[in-house]
Amino acid sequence: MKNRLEKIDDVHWRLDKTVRPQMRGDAMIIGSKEIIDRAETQAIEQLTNVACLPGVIEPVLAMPDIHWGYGLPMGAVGVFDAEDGIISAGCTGFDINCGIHMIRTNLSKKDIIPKIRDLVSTLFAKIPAGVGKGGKLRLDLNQLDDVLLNGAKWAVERDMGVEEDLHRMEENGRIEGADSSKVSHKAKKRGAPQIGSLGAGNHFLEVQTIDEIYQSNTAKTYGIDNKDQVVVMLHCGSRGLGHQVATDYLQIMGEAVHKYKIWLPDKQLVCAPTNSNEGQDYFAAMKAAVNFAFCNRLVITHWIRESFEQVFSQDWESLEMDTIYDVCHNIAKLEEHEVQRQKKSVYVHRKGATRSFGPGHPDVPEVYRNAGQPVLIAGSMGTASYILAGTEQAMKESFGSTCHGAGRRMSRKKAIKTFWGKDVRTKLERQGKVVRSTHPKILAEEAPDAYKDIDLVIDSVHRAGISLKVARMIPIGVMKG
Amino acid sequence: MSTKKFEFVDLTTSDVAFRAWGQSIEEVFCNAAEAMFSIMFDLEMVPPIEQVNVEVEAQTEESLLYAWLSDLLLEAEVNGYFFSSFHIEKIWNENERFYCVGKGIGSEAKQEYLETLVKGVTYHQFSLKKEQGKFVATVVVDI
Repeated sequence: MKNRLEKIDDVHWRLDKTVRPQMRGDAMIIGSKEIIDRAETQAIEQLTNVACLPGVIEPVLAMPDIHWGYGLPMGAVGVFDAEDGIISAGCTGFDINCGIHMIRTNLSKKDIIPKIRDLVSTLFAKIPAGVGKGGKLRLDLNQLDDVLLNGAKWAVERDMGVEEDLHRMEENGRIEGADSSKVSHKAKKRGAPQIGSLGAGNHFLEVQTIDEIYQSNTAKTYGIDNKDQVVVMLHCGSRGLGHQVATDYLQIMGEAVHKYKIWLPDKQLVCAPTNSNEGQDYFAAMKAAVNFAFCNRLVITHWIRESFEQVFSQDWESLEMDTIYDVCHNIAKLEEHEVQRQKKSVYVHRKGATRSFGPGHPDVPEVYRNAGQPVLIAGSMGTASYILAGTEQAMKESFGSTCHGAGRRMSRKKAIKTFWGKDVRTKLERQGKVVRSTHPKILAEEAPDAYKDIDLVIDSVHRAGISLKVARMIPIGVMKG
Repeated sequence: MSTKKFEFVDLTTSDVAFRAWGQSIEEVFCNAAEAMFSIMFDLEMVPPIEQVNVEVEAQTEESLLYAWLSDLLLEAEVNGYFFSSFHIEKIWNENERFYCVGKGIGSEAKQEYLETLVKGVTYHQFSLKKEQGKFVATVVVDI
């Protein structure tokens, strides 16, 4: 399949729908030749699978962090007509509203280096991670319903966050249309003790410093003033609640594909027509999980601020720990995009892809409207991360989307066989990075060498113009779930 | 004759895939559960102290396996347990639906033993087949 890719320019590669008889639209990969050379054939085949689904709007897109996943590959965008297309629990996957929340500070590298060990330990003590019976907040089912409906607003109403945080979050931290009655009791049982917990696996919290600024005006708008400024990046999602919503609706949609006679090239792509009960029930339940994740990240943000207050003996307001932005990179959304020169309502599935809305878009917070939406990209653990700016070009060619991270190049099992967690920690500590995790194997699994080079990924999206480089960060303190 | 219960296979870069075998459907259900939980922690570190009943039903035997594995993950998480052994009381078919009654056996989840969290069971290449007299399950989990 890879040899059928047609080069459009240095960073665009098209897979014409004629490569496979069932394809209803083209696929497009955004990435340099080096990225294409390294992409797995199976991941490219997965793109063609999505292009076979009813109501698909071409092109099915892969970002330069594409890698072989389940259903839709990671680092991909699948868009479907809102009238005669589908919505898919399989395309969205388990980590509903996995995303990034980022906070600025007025601290500099020299302020934090003497205190980084203490800070990482304090964060580890305050923020629940890994498994067990859950977090510090244990909600009853009524309180949980409130979170599912109101998202991050729930946290602000309880003084865990401020109104200004909400203005700097995708969907203002609360997506409209969530319906908790579409979320199963099983999912609620999993979610109730988990608000304010980091989880495990690839989720992490990093204290970072600004390594390079590429666009100083935009950086200033986002609150990034100087090189060496300290920022905090939080990467997590909707925890067990989202995982269970996905599990439940995979089963419901598994039956729906028979009912609606939808042919699937991969069972994981289970879906339902957009206007069917199954499709809309999933959408309402998924939105509830989205709100759970927004709230989860803001509650953790509150504890990050408390940790800084404790270590620096100053309140967070005087440390100017404002939210830069909070963005999703695993979600299905109903959006308006231009399709064949006409505005059209479409369901956009971003699986390991970040929204990248350009300047002037009404959904970009007012404070950022001239600059474009901040796009927050987490590198692999211990390597560089980026802030990018959304662009008009993304609106034209990638349904307002860009990459989400480095993208794996080695499977997790192989990483565990290849690396020792303790060696990974030692190597990172030699680079001046303080690392804490719940188990050393998690460090091996997430070893930086198991991932693609983030700089290559960012270079591709920047050259394609679907998001532009604003600043690069490097970590000095890492907390892994 | 090989007595291998399961093995990990290369079916995805982002996640973990395994194949499990069993002479009977009950055995393949238990071996698949062992494979899945062995991704999360060393099974030998988890003594059989607590047990949780799992009862599931589905349209096919294959979807019954999906429901069994998914409900074990759910029960482990909500009870705060790690499961290291599994027992199926009964799998049966009635009025065109399949039913399974079994249990996960283990002990309290200890943070320091967690290696990887399994988030869910995917449908990607998910299958339950009978090959040369043995049941074979292929499963990809999201981690």
